[in-house]
Amino acid sequence: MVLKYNLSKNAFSLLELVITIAILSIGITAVLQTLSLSVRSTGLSCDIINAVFLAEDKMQELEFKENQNLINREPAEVRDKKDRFEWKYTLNLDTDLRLYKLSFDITWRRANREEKLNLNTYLR
Amino acid sequence: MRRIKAFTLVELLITSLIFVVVILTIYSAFRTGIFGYRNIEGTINVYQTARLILERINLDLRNSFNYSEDETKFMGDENNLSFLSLVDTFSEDKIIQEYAFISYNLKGDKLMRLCRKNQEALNDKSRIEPEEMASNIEGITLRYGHIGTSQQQIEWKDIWNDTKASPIAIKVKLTLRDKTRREFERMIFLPLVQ
Repeated sequence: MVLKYNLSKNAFSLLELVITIAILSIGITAVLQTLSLSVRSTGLSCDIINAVFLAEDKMQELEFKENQNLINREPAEVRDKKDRFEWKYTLNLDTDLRLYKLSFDITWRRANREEKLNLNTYLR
Repeated sequence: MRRIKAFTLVELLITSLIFVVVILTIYSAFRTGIFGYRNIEGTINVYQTARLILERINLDLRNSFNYSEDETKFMGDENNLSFLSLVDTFSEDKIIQEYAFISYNLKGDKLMRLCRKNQEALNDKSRIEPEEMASNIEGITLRYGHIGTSQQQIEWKDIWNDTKASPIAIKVKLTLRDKTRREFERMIFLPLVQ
């Protein structure tokens, strides 16, 4: 039954051709997908480096302000932005440790997706 | 006439045409991929270099200290910087901290770092040569922050020649070029000199 057409006509059937083309196109798109994925993830890692630089700068600034007793220790949310990066930080007293917990959030948009990075440290 | 079973010329032509089309498609897809990869390689190189330089400067500056109460040994202008700092050294499987004189200089498109440790630190005639940290640098701009007269805001200067006090913060603006041009900016606070 299955071999019937194979014996009758010595040629590819339309079904065989369609399946072949489908497999081939899936293979090519898979290879292309990995390439574009690697491009995107490299871009994201570059963004993360920039975000971490920014966060570290801001944390050093707060650490300096803490040293100089210029820091506002009232629980509040501070928001600001630089280029594509928006950040906010909150300062809350941790009653167990008797230290102020600094929670730092950076958000930015990349290819219509919201990326987020959170860093925490403690201040006196 | 006996019929010979073989491909006809038309069949062969059509086959090779389809083959060429398929090969061209695959080739162009790979070419775009490799082109993109090369582009990204340049960007990665730039980021790698920037991270190396900025982390090194950050570490050195965060460990910097004043020589004495009335002399800091901290000098800096737009592209050059020199100060005293602590550097990590490996000695018999242990990490020890040694004091050192650190100097950053821009020579053409190369960033040079001089590190004179221990007894050599204050010896200006020392024969220790600066080492090349990175090349392909388009520019490095340093600015020095000090507490202004208003006591609340940090004011920025292009040149630091006050030998009695160190700045409280330094802004480093680094421009790198390798296929692409990128700018990096960091603000480093000096906790040990305050």
